[in-house]
Amino acid sequence: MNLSILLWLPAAVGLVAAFAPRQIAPKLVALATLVTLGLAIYLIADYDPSGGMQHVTDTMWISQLGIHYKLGVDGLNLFLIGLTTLGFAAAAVAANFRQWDKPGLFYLHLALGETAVLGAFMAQDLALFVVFFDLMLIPFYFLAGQWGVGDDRIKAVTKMVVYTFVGSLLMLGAAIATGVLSAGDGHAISFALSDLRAHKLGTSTQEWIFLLFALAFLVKMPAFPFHGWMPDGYKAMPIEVLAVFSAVLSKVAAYGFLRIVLPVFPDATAHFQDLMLILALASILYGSVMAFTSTNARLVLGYSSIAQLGFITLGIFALNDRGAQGAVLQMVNHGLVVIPLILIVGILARRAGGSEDLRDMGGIAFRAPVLATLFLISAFATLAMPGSSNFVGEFFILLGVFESKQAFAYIAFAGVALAAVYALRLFIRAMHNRPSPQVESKELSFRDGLVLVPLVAVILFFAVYPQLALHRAEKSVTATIQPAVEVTK
Amino acid sequence: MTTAAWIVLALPLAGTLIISLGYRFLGRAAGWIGTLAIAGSFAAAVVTFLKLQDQAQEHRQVAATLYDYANTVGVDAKITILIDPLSVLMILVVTGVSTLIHLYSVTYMASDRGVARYFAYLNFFVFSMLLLVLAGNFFLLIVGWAFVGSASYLLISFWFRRQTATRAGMKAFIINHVGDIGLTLGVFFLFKHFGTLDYLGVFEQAHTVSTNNGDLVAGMILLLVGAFAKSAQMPLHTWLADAMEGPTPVSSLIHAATMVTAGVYLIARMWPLFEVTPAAANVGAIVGCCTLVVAATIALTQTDIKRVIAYSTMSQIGYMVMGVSSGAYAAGMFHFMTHAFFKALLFMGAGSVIGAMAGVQDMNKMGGFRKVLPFTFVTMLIGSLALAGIPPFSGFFSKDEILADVAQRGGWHWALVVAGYFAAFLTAIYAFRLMFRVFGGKKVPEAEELAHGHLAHAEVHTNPTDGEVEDTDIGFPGPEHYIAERALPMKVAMGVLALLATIAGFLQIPTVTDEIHKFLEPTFHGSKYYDSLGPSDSFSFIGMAVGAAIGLAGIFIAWQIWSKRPGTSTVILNRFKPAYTLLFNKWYFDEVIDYAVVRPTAWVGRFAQQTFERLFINDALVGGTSLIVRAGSAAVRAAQSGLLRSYAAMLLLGLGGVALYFLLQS
Repeated sequence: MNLSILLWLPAAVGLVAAFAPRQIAPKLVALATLVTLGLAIYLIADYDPSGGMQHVTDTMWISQLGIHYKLGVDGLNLFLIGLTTLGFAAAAVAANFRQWDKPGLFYLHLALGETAVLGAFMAQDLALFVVFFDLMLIPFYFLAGQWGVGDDRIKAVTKMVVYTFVGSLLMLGAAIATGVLSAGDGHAISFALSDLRAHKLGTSTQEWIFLLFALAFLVKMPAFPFHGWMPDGYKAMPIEVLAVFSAVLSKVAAYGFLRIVLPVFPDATAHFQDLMLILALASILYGSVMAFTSTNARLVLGYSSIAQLGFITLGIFALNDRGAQGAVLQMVNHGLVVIPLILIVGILARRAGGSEDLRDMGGIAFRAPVLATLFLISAFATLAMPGSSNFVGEFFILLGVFESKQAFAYIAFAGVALAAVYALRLFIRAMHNRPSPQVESKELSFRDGLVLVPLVAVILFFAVYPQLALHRAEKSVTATIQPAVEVTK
Repeated sequence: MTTAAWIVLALPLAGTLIISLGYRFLGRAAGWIGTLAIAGSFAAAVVTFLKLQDQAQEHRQVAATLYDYANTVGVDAKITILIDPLSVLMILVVTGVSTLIHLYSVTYMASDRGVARYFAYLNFFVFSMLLLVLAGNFFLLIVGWAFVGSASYLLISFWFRRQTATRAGMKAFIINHVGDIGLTLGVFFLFKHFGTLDYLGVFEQAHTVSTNNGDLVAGMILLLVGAFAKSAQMPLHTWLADAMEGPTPVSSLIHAATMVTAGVYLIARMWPLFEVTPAAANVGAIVGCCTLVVAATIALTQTDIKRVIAYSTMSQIGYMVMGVSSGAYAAGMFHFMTHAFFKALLFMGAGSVIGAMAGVQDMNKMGGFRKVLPFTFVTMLIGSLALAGIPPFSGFFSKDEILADVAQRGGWHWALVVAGYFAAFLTAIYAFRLMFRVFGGKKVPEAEELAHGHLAHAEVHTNPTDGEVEDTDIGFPGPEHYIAERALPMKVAMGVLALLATIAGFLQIPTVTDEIHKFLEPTFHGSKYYDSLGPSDSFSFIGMAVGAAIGLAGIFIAWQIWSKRPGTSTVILNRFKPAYTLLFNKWYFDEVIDYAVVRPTAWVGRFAQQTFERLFINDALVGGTSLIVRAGSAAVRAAQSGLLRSYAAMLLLGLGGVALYFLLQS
């Protein structure tokens, strides 16, 4: 399959939708995201687990600079592409059930967002990756600024943009430096990742470039203490947009570590391993602690994401195949879980007179058993209960850390315990006890079910058969961490 | 045989799914579907048992794999079950007792409007427990372990409009989650050492390890943490009494007969490892011993009928943990079985009494039910006699066998035995304290009413824990109450259990029958304690005589205090006020944990939330950028007003340009 079709389909349809009549535009984009999802499922089914880059598209884009338009799929990004298309499909379908001001533009931005994220996941050229990585920000900026909630949203969104833009600039510089410095010795400049991997930079060069990349990615995730934009940013976004934003964009950053940083800067990776592990632990503990004291349901999920991304970072920088396998699986798992959870928070807020404060919710489980069940399954998955795919991911991550740096694993387990506290607290406060006066206790609507049930079904599917993802990821994961593993040996 | 074992697992899961999907239409049929599913599972367990017995002794350990679950990068997590005498004994007891409890629940929960949800949870619980005991590798064990914990959570907070119930559920879940973590971390140590998650693969290598290898001791102690959390051993026991917030049949099934015995099962299952890590095994034995004494002392002072039985459970599990940790495997499993019968029975009886009291659980308000609840009285009497260890009831044989076996270990194990006999004495006292207070004495108004043929009915339903008026809007707990005397399903369930509680002990009379010991032999083949701690010693009989005497003495004292001379208890209470306060407050475990763990964590949380995040994240770190933010947002606000469209257009243009460039290039 030509990956360009998958990549550009949403943007192309989005463009058409922008000029289409306002009744058609939403349906058109929703359909496009569903078709993209179908293509991604085909990609997963068609994937050859023996590894290697597949469905490669490689053309010289800007030959003077050695920038390739190179796309490819392997075990690292296969399921992330699936997650992205699923997330955007869910967001687009859920958005269809609401009226938006200027729908054409709204859906255009949503579709552009999908193309940008897919581009970042599929790019096999550093420059191309940077382009898509920065491009991601623009549609989300408008989605939050124009269609978001709250009076402070412009300020919140600007804060987010400033944060990530600083990171992006640093990364841009680092990317250019990587390409330029690795050129020479008889080979022309090239940004293709395969070429960059082949020409290793000197250790000290790697180190400062590593830091720039790391900063960009940690801000994007976000990780403690670079998460200052997160609370306001989360509160500002429309709930459907937030669902996909939280599920997908943070993964691009984690993915960037695995795809670019570990194989291209292996010496620096090994050098900064402890630093990264400490940051990861800090994110886990801080995110968890904040999650169980926040009263805003969105922020509970926001801070829990910081903690979850901490686990993923931990797995990546365990620098062994088990940790990395767990991290790759956990990226998909966290995305799968957070989409329905955020959408459920939206539904709950509608039941609670528009308030997203946990203190204004409660007690609706009896009249809304289906909603309660879907919520419960998602909440159990998010706290990584054994039997969920999230546990498999966490098991591999912690096993990886346990094998490389035992002490870190012990501390990380505290985060595992805290996850139970915040996830259960969220569930109980929203569904159990007596209802608050303004709560309207009713079951989820058919439309909401249309979006949520398939999402939860996917969670259950992976809970029963995580091997599907693990098996396909194995070869690529081992290959991508190989350079860094060799350095640490 | 393996097919039958898979069916044992599949039926409860199917029951859960059918009831969940059909919750709208099923109504009371849900109860029968749930009961049938478990009964079918029991039948399949019997088939498994028979087929296993057909195999030659040395072939009675069969592993079967369904599919690869997470089999990658050297970690071999598969869906594998292990069928051997130990797991078969467990599934027989679990499915058997569960069937009876489902049957009991069909009536007991009939008026509750959450009845479909109840049976879906109950079936899910049975599935989880079966998964736990049938698991053939550590990964699946952890999964079953956690499923049991979550099913228990769901059932404890079943009446979730009660804040006491949701709080108790959360407490149980979190303590169990801590146990899961201990288990997982323990498995990491084992995996590091053996390189496989498969039970048989690990056990094969166990004898090659040197005694008290550091990694292994750490791993086994961590496994014990998991076992302690699930089996309510100190100091992770505080959830069990609160778990009485769940419906009474749930207490009967989960918090007496099955879930809490998971830790016992785990220790027995891991015998090859515990025998090479005696340091860890000793930890288990000592903790079990402390728990059995402490829990028995607490049970003496509680006034909530269900909590008395709950502490009794904790104490009895302590015997089992002490036993299997000391190498008394068959005795521990034997006691697990008899305890499942008589404890499930006691809880069911308590449920019947609570029904007659229209939901009240306070023993201070009970009395004189002997004549009006004759069936409940007789069956509970059997249960109490078995609990107190009076011959020939089942608990007599199993408890004394544990103590006899532990005594044979000699040395400091004698201290455990003495403590065990001391607690047995207390057991008889608290068991009959309950009997005398509930069934003896003057008839309370509820009993009077029942004598006139009416079941007491509460005008206003209140939460028995905190007196809060129930939320009748949603109709649960159900407005109707049931007593065994008037409900055939309850009667059948209690009758069968009473029969089993009476006769199950004969399965293993030292030197006479020894059926359990012989049956379990293949699992424990190669153990250095299994045969040497034989019950054939004459000590067994001395021990049994002592046990019986102690039990009778306890009953006599209970009779003196609570029946013969009413008021004696108040005198004792006043004389030993400090001791009483300590026991009544459950040795202040809750308070200690609250101050040592819960409050500091909450404080850290508040500090992060209210201070750190505001000062450091929002001010200090963003401080530098906040100027830019302000300038930026001003600019954006200006642009936002009318220019959004042109921005979008510019964006599109740019994208189009890029696309065009690309097309021209290629």
